[in-house]
Amino acid sequence: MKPTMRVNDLPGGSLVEVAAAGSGRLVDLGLSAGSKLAVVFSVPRGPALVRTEDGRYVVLDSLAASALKVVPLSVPRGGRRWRWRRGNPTQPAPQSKRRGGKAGVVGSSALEISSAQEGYRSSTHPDNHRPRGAFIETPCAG
Amino acid sequence: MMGRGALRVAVAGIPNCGKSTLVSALSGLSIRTANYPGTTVSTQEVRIREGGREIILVDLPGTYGLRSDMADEAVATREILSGNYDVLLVVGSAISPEQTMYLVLQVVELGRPTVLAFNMMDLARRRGVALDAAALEKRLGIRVLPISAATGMGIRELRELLSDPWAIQGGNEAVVDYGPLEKYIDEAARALRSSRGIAIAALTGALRLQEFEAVGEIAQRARSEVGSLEEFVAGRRWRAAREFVAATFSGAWGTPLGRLDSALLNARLGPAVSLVVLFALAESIFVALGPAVGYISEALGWIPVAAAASRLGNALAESLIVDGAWNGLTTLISFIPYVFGVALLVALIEDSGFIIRLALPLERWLRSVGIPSRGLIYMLAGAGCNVPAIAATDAIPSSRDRTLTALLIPYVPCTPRLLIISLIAASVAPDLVGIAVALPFAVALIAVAVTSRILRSTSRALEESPYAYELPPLVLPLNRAFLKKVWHYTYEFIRRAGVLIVAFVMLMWLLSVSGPAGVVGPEALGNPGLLRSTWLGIAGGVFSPLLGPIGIPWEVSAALAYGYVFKEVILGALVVLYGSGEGGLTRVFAGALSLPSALALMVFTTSYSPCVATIAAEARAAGWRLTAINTALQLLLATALAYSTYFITGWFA
Repeated sequence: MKPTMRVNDLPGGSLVEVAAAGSGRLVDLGLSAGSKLAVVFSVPRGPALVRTEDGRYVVLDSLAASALKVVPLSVPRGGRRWRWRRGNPTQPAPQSKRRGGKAGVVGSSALEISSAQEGYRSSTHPDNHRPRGAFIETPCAG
Repeated sequence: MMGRGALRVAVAGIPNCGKSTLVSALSGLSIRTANYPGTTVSTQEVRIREGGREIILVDLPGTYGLRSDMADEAVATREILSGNYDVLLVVGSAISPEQTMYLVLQVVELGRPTVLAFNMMDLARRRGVALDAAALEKRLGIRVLPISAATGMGIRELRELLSDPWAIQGGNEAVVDYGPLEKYIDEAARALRSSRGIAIAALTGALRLQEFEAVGEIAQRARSEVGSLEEFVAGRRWRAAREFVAATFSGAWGTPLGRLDSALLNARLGPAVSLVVLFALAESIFVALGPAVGYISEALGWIPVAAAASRLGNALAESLIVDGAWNGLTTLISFIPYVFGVALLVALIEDSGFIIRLALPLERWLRSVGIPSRGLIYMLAGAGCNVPAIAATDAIPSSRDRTLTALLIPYVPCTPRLLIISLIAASVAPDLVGIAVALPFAVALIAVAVTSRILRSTSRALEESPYAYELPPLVLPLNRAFLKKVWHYTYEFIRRAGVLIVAFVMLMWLLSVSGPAGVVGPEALGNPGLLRSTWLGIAGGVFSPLLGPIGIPWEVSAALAYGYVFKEVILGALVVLYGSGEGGLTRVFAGALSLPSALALMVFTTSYSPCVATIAAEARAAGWRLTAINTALQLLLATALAYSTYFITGWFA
């Protein structure tokens, strides 16, 4: 089973797939399970701005962003910092220590979401499977 | 319904589609705003005449779909599903056609006479988007009109169409193919003897009424076949919406992000940029309108009301006219420029889409304090004067945010309160005036955080709920319909809060010229000894036992009680009570107050009470029950904070 995260756990520039919308309103906005999104802006445990496959931008307040569970497909390569994280690096870090990344704008049309993946680290990247308790890269503080 | 020839048109649409701008464009100057029965959700009603027929437009809150997760959307959903209208006018956004179509498909399934007006076509055309209205009409089976409420394009045709109900039909109910769910929908529709739309709403739980228990078993069977009905239905609708848009729209729609978006929607710079812009905007209104208010006050001063009243030959009647009615009227008039200015500012940043970009980076921190993110600009505007800021909350689309913001604004110290605090600071700690003036804002922040928590636990309508919406485009909404809307906000303030303000001022006058012994006379207004024997004087004494233990003299307590009338009268009352000029008050305070008492007094003054005009505006926005709870909370909280300040600073002193 793929690890799920809250959408606001991921930095701007990440590409994600919705695992669970968390509210009917998000389903009405087209953010249902299986849809792919680009995170444009996010504040850790705070609001987020996401872009849907059809090019719409959806604003999520802190509660909605925290309720939107996603599977990360890729996170930005640049703008990271080194820090020690305990446990399995493929799992999300504890909430109190998570920080967001730089905001970024991905593409300007629906088609660019897939092309934007070039230059992003995939969730299956070998760096994501280092041994427990190793130094790993995490997104830069936002 | 169609009784007596009046045609009832429910106006629905997705949020930020320009629905209220369209209602303004269709209407004359008169728009009636009322709360939906049993809720704090406001709906607007507009009466227009077209083709010799009266049309009643009911502007419903914006909604993305027919469900009842949030108070505002529940009202729109209930009205749309109830069918209590002759025509349903759906306002669509041409720059968000898929989201619009998702709602339209649900509405068409209801089989009610429907018109789709695609708004913002001017903006869409500039971006190269074209709509094949004829093709869309054919597929949906309803009339489709491309319009622009801002420029007036298509408004004439829309008015004419609405006046002819026979030309408006229900659409193609089977507009979405639900595949394996179809047989269950048919079964439910037969059981309920209703349209497909109602059957689907009952199956998915969007509509919960007792008589729909019959479909519970059908829904259970359907669920065992397709899983979550809500998600399945939404998925099919989205697929159909995209297909419809692909077939009838051409060009690239959506909201491209610009440079301004990059600056504001930025995790690092966004919060700082937003705060600076919000402070600058809020401050600019009071700086810009200050001279106008001065000129109006001066002009009102020329009106010889006192001279005319003196001809009555009766001191009490003369005082009633001058100190009661005329005083109330001039107070109301002096508020109007500020109300118009703040309404203009907030309508501009709300309608332009700027507010979302300013509020988003600050949302997390504001939420942790308990301030609705859209409410910050109103609270900052409240630092000038609480009354116009509360009146302007009409522009906030969410009823929960609107009510909570209106209740929190009175905690923000307004200019007259800051003047009193500065005077106290200058008296007892002249070297620390700069720091002391920051104190009220720190106190206000604590008070807002505590009150917001208490209020949210008191009222279900104020509970937190997740909120998500499509990012609207950045536009400059300077058009006739926009100005009409701003005028409407101002007019609503005059009509509803204005009457209360004048009535309150007259009541306060009555309490200050009469007491338990009967009529004391207008002499009491200028005589501290007589004033103590009036109802207002006795009420002033109420604060004395409350504030006496922390070293605040009776005269100051009484003056603060008069602050319930207007904060501006506190200094005047102190001058009368101490028998000194305003300059002399500094010396009086320096002699009468210790440093802990002065600090406690500053804390108390920050948020102990709103004035009558604020109470009137607050009651209009949030209702009397919440206003009464809030006013009592303010006094309790201010007293608790003042005592804490006194004892903590006394311990260090």
